[in-house]
Amino acid sequence: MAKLVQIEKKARHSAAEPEIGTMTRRDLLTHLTKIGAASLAAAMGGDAVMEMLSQTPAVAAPGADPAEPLIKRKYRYGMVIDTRRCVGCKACVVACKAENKTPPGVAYTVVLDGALGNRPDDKPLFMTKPCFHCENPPCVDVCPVGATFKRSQDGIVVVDYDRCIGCRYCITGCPYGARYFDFGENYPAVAEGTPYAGVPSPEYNQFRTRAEGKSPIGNVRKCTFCVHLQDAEGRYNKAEGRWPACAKTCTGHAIHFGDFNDPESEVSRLLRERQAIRLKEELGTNPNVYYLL
Amino acid sequence: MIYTGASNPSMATEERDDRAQRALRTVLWLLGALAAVGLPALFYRLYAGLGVTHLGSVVPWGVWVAFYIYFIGLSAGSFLLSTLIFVFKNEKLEPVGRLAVFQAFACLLTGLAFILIDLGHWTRFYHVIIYPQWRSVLAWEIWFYNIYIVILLAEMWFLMRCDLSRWATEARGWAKRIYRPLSLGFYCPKTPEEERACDQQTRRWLKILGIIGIPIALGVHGGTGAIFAVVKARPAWYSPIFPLVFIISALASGGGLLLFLRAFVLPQPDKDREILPMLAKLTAGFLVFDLVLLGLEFLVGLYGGIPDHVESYYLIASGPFWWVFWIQQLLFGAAVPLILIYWRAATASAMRLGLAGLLIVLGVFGVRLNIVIPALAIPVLRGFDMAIDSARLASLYVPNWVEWLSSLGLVAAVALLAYAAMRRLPMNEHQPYR
Repeated sequence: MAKLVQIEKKARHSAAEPEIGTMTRRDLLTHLTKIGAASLAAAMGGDAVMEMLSQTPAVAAPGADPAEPLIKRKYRYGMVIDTRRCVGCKACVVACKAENKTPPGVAYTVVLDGALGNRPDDKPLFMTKPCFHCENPPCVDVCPVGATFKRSQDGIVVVDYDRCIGCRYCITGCPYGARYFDFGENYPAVAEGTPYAGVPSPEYNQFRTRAEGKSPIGNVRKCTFCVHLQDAEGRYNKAEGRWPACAKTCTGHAIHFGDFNDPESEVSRLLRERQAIRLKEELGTNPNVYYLL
Repeated sequence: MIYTGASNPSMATEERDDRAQRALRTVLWLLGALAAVGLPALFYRLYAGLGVTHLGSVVPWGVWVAFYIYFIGLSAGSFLLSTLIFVFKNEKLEPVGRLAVFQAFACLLTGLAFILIDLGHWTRFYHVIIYPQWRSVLAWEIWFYNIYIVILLAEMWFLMRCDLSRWATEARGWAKRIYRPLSLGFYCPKTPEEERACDQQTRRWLKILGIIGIPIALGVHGGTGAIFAVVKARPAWYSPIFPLVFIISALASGGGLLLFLRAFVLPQPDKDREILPMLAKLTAGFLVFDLVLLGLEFLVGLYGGIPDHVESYYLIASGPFWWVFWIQQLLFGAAVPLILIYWRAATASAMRLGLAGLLIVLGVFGVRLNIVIPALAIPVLRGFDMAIDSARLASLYVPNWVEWLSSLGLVAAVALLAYAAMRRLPMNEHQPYR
């Protein structure tokens, strides 16, 4: 690079020297070569600028191939969801609501039945859809105050309720509809004044009680892979019940959760053995939730 | 208090007939009534949170965001038109220079007020200053707006300082106490030589501020377009043409507002005979350019045939709000004003051109609605809006009375305040104090 800059400098210097009319063909060719080298240097600089601007590298990001673990992070949590095992019972939706105490209109996971189009035999294809905790999350990029971010230790995309101003730019920016605004509504059973109203949500281990005007009301909320169930080392444990509520409750065992950085995890094994797809691959978001069809 | 301005005779009113006076007064009373009804709705929303709106998680941005980009556009458009005078030395337009800059300032504050009331936690607005996240276009925009405000204030001061200081000496009582601080202690030069030097200094500063202001204003509104253009999740937004569309439609709406205000609110018939037709043709030019861009967007989008993209165009053209596109935006916002401006242009009266301006201003609001809402109303995944039984996930968004009343109240209040300020400030060069 330094050499190229030198050449570029030289090219600039010598290009000014010869007067018009005295230039031989050979001179011209030499100058053209030098100018070419200079443009090459500029182009390489341009690449650096483009890389800075674009979050998604032109070639597949490390970790896009599930067989290749991400070394930079301790864990890479994700899901492999087997649509052939999903019966559309929506137990995951309910379990998530019970775990995170989400209000009406906020569902960290939903069950879609037409997202991929029905198969020719009209058999419905159900699909539970949590947040995909993308490697290149567009929602994080657009947040003007950095209230939503991807955790460096495990890649879970979270929201800092106390910093979020509620502009909802991230909702428009998410290609998967994983974000919901908390408008402050309550289910009748947990409405203010009822004994259940005082039960806090364990989300982020912050144990907030719902109160008018207080976060998370007025904030954008999303699936956290039940991050509050991790131990101090950031590990989940299925046997102890410290496992994302939707995966724990799934009646058909359709939702598989685990660490893609661990080649022996169930999710890694499923990706090796089966053909998985991800939604809207063309956007370069590199989701950490895969679907088996 | 505000209405006293209307009954006060001011320099232009002498030539205006009683009928126009009465009409203006009726409009001011109407604005007052709207503000009286609308502002309580605004305070209700600020107190009760966004739950009192019809916004949701499928269409998270609604009529307030449309108003926000609308007023930012009006502001940037007005400012860019003013640079035609102060930077590019279009002497003929000079008499509307102060109005253009003042309009840019008032519209910018209105736009920012709209985005403030759209925040889920509006009391945390200062977070955008203390926690900027520089990968967000919105974070950049905040700083563009801040710098832009400083430039507008500085330009207004340079434009009005001489008249303000003169008014401060001529005025009595409370008015004196207002004009003196507004002039920032500047004193009008006494001798003609000094005055000429002062005048030259003012022009130089206006040129410098204008030159700095051009990229800033382009950043202010082109960047506001970029807020949408960078969202790859919404195919109808994700297009490099968007920042350009924002700037061109801003110029059209800014010109339209200037036409309207000059023709109906602050007329100066002797100068307007020349200025208004010129301004009208300039505005019409931008409007036509805007229509070309709109056509390009539709043609490329429809030809591409990407379902989400095509669907949002169908929603615009034949959805439940088809009339915003065909009637408000194209018929009354474009076709009629173009006819008013170009049909027998030589005989066009000030009223006709002012009406054309008003129609363009109203039409561009339709453009803004159709930018914000339809692209969001196509759920990002098929069936997402039906996945849970909640009105907050509906793909059909219809603003409710809180949203409309608070918007109209805010606009009416700003219009009244701006009117009062226009009557109390030297909007014309060497304007005598009354």
